[in-house]
Amino acid sequence: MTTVTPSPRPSEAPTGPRGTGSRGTKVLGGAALVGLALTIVYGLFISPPDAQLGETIRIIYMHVPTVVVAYVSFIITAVSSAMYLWKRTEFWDLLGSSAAEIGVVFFAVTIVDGALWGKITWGVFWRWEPRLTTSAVLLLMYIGYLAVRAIPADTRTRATRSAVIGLVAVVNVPIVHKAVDWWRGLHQGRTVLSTIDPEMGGTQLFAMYASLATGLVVFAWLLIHRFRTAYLTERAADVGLDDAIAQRQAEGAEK
Amino acid sequence: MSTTGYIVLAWVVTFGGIGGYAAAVIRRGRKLSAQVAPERRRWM
Repeated sequence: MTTVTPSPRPSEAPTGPRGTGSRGTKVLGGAALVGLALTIVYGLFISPPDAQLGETIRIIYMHVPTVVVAYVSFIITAVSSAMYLWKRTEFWDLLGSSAAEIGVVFFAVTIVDGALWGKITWGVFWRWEPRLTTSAVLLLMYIGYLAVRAIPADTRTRATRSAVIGLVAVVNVPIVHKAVDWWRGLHQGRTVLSTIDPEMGGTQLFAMYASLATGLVVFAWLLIHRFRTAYLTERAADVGLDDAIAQRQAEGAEK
Repeated sequence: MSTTGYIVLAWVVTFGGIGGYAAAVIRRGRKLSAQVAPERRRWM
């Protein structure tokens, strides 16, 4: 019979590197800080106002990178969901859920930035037009994904449920993306996965690419940290289970 | 609010929202790593 020894309490836990950082995340974090500095300097101060968008282009420097990261996150969630249903390994489950959470944060920021841009351009924060409506549905679907993960269940059931939702929800990504082509609405034409405004050049183009590249570096850095946090959450739950088993064994030995 | 006000607000929302989330993730990771022995932090 195997005996489970109680895990150390936090105060007596063996010393080791604290947190979820590593050499790789430090390199990514450093690159992100350089990118953020360039984005601020070029996006807010050096880049001139756009001929059509005027000063509001400075909101686009935030709006486009955040939506690109959100799309990438949701696609990673879908791929991880498919891989989980095939391989049934913890790695794909944690990667998918980590990417989904980051995607929700970035997409929520995208919607708020868009609303602020809309207030300047249209005079209102929100219109129930195709791009905005499909975006709201997309955000709600991924909030639903995270809500389902919060429902108490064994890890396998939770992973299977969320993997199915992760595969269904991603169908809405191309719908949001193509909404401006398929239906007439207020929102301007596609910027993401289209040629960035051909009239954009010089420091405007640099500011746009700098913010886009920075957004992707920040995403990579965040995804690694979030995945490791999810992994630690699972291991910490194991520790609690080990402690409970050890306690029961000790009680049994006393009788 | 002026156009400049909305632009500044958009940048504050972006940096504040993502920065706040990142800080929460890092803080949670540090807290959890204190509960898990180093040999169990293999990240798979």
